[in-house]
Amino acid sequence: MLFSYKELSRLVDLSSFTPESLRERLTFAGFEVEGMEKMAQASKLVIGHILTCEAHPDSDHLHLLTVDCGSEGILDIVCGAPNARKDLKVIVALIGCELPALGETIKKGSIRGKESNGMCCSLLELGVSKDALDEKSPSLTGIEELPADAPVGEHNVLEYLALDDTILDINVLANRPDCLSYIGMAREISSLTGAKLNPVPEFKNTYKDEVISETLSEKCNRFDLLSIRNIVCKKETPLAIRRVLLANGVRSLDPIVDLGNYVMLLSGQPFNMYDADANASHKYVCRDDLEGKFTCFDGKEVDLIKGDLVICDGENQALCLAGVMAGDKASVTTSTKNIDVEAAIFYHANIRHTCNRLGMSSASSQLFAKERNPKMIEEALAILIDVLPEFFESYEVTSYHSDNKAETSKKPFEFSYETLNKRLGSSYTKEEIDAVLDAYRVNRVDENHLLAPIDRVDLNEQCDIDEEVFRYYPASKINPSLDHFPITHGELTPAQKMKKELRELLVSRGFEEILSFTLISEKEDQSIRVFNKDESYRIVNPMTKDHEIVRSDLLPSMIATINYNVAHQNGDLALYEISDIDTPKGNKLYLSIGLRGGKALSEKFKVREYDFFDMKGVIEAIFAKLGITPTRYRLAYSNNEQFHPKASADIFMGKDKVGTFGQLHPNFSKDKLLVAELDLGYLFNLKGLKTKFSSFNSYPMVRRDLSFKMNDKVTYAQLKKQILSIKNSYVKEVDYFDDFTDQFTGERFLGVSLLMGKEDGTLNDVEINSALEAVKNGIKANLGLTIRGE
Amino acid sequence: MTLEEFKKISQEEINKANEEITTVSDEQTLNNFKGRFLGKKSHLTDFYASMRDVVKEEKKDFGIALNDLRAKLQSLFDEKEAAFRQAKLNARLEKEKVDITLPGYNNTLGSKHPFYAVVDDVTDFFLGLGYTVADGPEVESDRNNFELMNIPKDHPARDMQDSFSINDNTILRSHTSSVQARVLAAAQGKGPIKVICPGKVYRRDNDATHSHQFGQIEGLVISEDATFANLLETLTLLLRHLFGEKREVRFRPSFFPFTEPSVEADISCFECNGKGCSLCKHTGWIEILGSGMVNPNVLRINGFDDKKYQGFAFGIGIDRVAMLKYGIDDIKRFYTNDVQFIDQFRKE
Repeated sequence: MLFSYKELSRLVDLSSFTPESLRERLTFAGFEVEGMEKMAQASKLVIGHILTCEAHPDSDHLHLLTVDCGSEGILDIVCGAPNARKDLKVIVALIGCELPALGETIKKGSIRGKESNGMCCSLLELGVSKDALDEKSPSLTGIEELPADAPVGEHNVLEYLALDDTILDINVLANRPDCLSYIGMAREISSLTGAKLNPVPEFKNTYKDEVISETLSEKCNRFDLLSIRNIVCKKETPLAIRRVLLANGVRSLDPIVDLGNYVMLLSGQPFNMYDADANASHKYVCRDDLEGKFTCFDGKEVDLIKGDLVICDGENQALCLAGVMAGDKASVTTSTKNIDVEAAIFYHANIRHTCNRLGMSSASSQLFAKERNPKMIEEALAILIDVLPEFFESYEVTSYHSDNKAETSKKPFEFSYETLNKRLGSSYTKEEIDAVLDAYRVNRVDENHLLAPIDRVDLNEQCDIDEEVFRYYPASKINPSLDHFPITHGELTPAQKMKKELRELLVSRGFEEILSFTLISEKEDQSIRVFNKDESYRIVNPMTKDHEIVRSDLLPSMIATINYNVAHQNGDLALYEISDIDTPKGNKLYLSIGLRGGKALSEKFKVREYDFFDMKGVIEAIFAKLGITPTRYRLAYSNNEQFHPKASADIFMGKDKVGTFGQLHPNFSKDKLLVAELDLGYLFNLKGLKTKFSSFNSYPMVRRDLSFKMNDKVTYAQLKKQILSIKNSYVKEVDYFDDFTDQFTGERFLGVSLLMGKEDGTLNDVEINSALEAVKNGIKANLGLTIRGE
Repeated sequence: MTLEEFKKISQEEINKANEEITTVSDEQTLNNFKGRFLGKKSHLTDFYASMRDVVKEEKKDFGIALNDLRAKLQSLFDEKEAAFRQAKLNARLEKEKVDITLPGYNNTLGSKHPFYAVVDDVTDFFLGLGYTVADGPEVESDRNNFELMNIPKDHPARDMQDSFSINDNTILRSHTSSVQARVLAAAQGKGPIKVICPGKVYRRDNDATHSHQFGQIEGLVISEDATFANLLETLTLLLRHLFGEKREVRFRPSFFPFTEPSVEADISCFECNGKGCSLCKHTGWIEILGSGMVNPNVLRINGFDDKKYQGFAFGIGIDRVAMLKYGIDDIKRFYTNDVQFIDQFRKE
């Protein structure tokens, strides 16, 4: 909320403060001052009187003025304002005057050959905000026009204009709705700093009870009505009050409207003013069960539904959208003579719902949305009655009625000095704590109980007092320390550890980690899925269609990320993402991998494109890291339509599919992309192998290479399995080293190397040769494959 | 031959050899040298043969002198041979010269995403203080996300966190405090608890400094006597860990529905060291995180005895910390995943 420093000073004695020091103190008491600006700024001004005004001979819009500036003499000034004229009283910026709003210092100059010794100013040039000016203000189109009685030669122009003020933008947090008013903030400053609070008027009901207010809604627990009759308004609202409105960005209209706005700023209580002559029933009723059309004071028509709070007259005719907007009936006008002033409490949630539904907002609704305190109504009415003479030449307060169903007092609560220090880890003395209780008007009911004042909705239990004590003593008396801090064992869970290690593995293999949006478009969501094809969660209030679905699969994001990078000149990509996935069927942890293009590989500086086996290598390394041996999973050509039918694989463990990897189908992605997705949650839940040492052969092993002529039916895996199953072959390991297809004959040869050895010695040539024969014969007999060249 | 005569001849032989070795220029001439001075037909061989004629008294000294001659000749040969071997090796090494400026094989190293680099860093910090890490779903119940965090339906604070809804009771979590509700439920009213909850959160917010998705690390400590002073020390240590030992840390009272008292922590600006610059909006301080003592009502509604237990909670914005720490200019960069961006965090 914006606060005029001058107006605050009127309510609380700020003589020992500057705006800067007040800002510092408030910031460390939980009221962050987010902005601080002078209402207007200029260094050397004087009030002048235009003695002569002639057209500039070389210009169609400039004027040559002679301006009487009192002790500054009569100055020649060239002025471009259309409203410059003889006898006008004006604001003159003298030579050397700094105008921060223009970023300029006024210099002696010559404009089209004519000397100019200053500048006539508008309020805008002094830094006054355009939005806050009256539509008819001359400053919007020319220079400011001062009243005829303005004192010529006066140097304290900002003071004369009541613009010598600083505006503080104070962030009032949600627990302190009482500070969303000048009185509330003044009271807080007084409590916090000991600055003297000037007396706040008290409400004394000495009025008749003629005009009735009644609430029929649970959502309005207090509805007060004050009637003022025979009003004769002043010509205009006093300047000082208009400046407070200006400081708060409220446009000054006529005295009745300004009265409501000003007292709302002072007290925090919104009012609505009714033209009493337009309501012959002399009754106002709050309801929340009306339906139908309602016309606002500005002519806008809205549909009411049940739950909207409405103020009606005695005939159930809606007069006001309560707390939000006045209606077209019974609104005050410049000719209004008799008014009924509504001061009520409307439940914050209803006001918010109505505003959100209708897209409406007003200063009142914003206050109601933050919760108002029913006990503050009397203070607000007292302030209102107190300031009436500022606005009205004559008037008569005739009637007051209150329908008050609000609870009337706060409840005492338990409090202990020891608990406060134990909780804060502090050593405040009883005296120090008592000082805070006194400052905030908190009563000590007995040894163990406190009672907070009615205006403090946030003080209801011990912790609320703990906070006040912490806020009150600025240079905190609490020494940061780890005394009493509980000692516990900190460690990642096995799954968290595995995730961390997998990420390290992938990064060390050259993969970049990505982080994509959980919310994707419906189209992306349906483009590719590896695991489940069910409905994804859908957001009912999305911000855009691009972020409407909670993804069920990571691959749409991976593919989009690859495409984004390719479009941004990054063609060689190795990416991964690990993310939680929430679906209506349950929560998963998935890993996605993407490969595109190629990078320099280990063969000397030979760059080649990534292929299926680059991806497979990563997958194998991941499984190895997780302690899942190749015998525990099997691969099958993937039947996922988005994948290449012959260069992609589903990974199964038993009957469960735990992942898919390989090249995308060219119909799905024209660009050659290799992707993978693994169900990490599933893999992390498997019982990993315990690492256990086993003895190994220490005699030298012999390596022999064989090249088999392959046919379509036999895979490498079958060949390997067959070789290992041959008895007495001494083959301990089979490894692949070459896959060669003869360009001319089309024959495919698979080179495998056999590692042979025995536990009790070194193999001799006879043993090796007979073993190789056994392998060759066995493969020929069982798989029908022959050796290349034999 | 007397010993005296032999010494003289021997010296002549050495002089001759010294002279001849200088003419040796290749392996052929080196072999010739070896034949002439050390071979079977050399003078040396003859001298050994003449040993038998030497008188008995001089035999021992003659033998020593003879061996001495042989050693000197041999060493002349050895030195030359070694020089040749070295020259040959040098020639080979010259041929094996590599361009040491070419890149090494398999030098590719990927990079963590800076978002996760911060998560890892903060996680390590808290593991060291004995915390554990709790995970939870992102699609959450309204109850866990709001109600159990002291934000009942229709509470004005809900306006501060406009969330994405899936249905009346289910939302995308707007903070990772929802995980704290789960941790508290699992603890069944028994402390101590020391946990951090890192993760993605979602709010209907999208402008220059906000993304509808961002990250938070929330921490929660509940025990019989964890204090506000403990919180202040924890945050001071954390912020110095993240932003440097020289950072000053200050605390400002604030308000959050789930903590009381609440504080926000600022650090002295690391760009200008507190003098004021555009990063700190000329205040000298940068706002980093919010925290406070767990509101007793949060303890009560989550099944804890607030007379017995107390504790603190804090929340850090992952993106914000990463942006400050690495000087990242736009939060959108985290989610577009340009590899030229991610590549810059290899060291992290």
